[in-house]
Amino acid sequence: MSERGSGLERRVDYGVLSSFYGALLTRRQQSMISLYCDEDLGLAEIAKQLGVTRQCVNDTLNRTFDRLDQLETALGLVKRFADQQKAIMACRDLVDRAIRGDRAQASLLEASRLLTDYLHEEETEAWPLKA
Amino acid sequence: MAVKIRLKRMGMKKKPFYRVVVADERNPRDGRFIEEIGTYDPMTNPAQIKIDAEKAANWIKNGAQPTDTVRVLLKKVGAIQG
Repeated sequence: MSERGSGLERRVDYGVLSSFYGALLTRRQQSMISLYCDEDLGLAEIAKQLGVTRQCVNDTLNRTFDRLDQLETALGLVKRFADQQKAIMACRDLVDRAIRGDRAQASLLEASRLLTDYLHEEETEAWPLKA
Repeated sequence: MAVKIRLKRMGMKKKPFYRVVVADERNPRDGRFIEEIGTYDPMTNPAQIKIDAEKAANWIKNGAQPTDTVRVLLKKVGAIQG
């Protein structure tokens, strides 16, 4: 059983995970997770839509949640995307500030430092066998 | 005809954004819904919930059933009692 929260939070989290890793799921897993996360259906409703038992939906969904968690643990694409977004947005804000002439030099230096830090992090995180 | 109030995910692949829609229970996937009564954006901090509480209350009074997730949102915006 998955460790993520239930209900709303779970639908949002696994909806994001499946938009990254959906192509690695089976077709049945894809359709169930889509009905669950994108269409907000309950287990019984999904069972009815797909013509299977509620127990089958429950088992398949739990396996799918585990699979998505495994993929994120191994590949970390969602976390990496979030980190990238954060770094890029911070840099954009600093560059915007420089364009407005607000402490231009200091802002650009700070942006450059952010990019260097981010690149360094990427380099050191790239190989998971460092231990 | 059973009518549900449910979330429907819209927007971009990596940026979840939901509409709160009133829809016929029988055809959840065909994209049709009776009315949109709000939106839910989980990506902002805190998450932004915009729901027309009056419309929601009206639909519920007329027998529409909110899903558990929509019920959570309705409680948060005070459209229904906890």
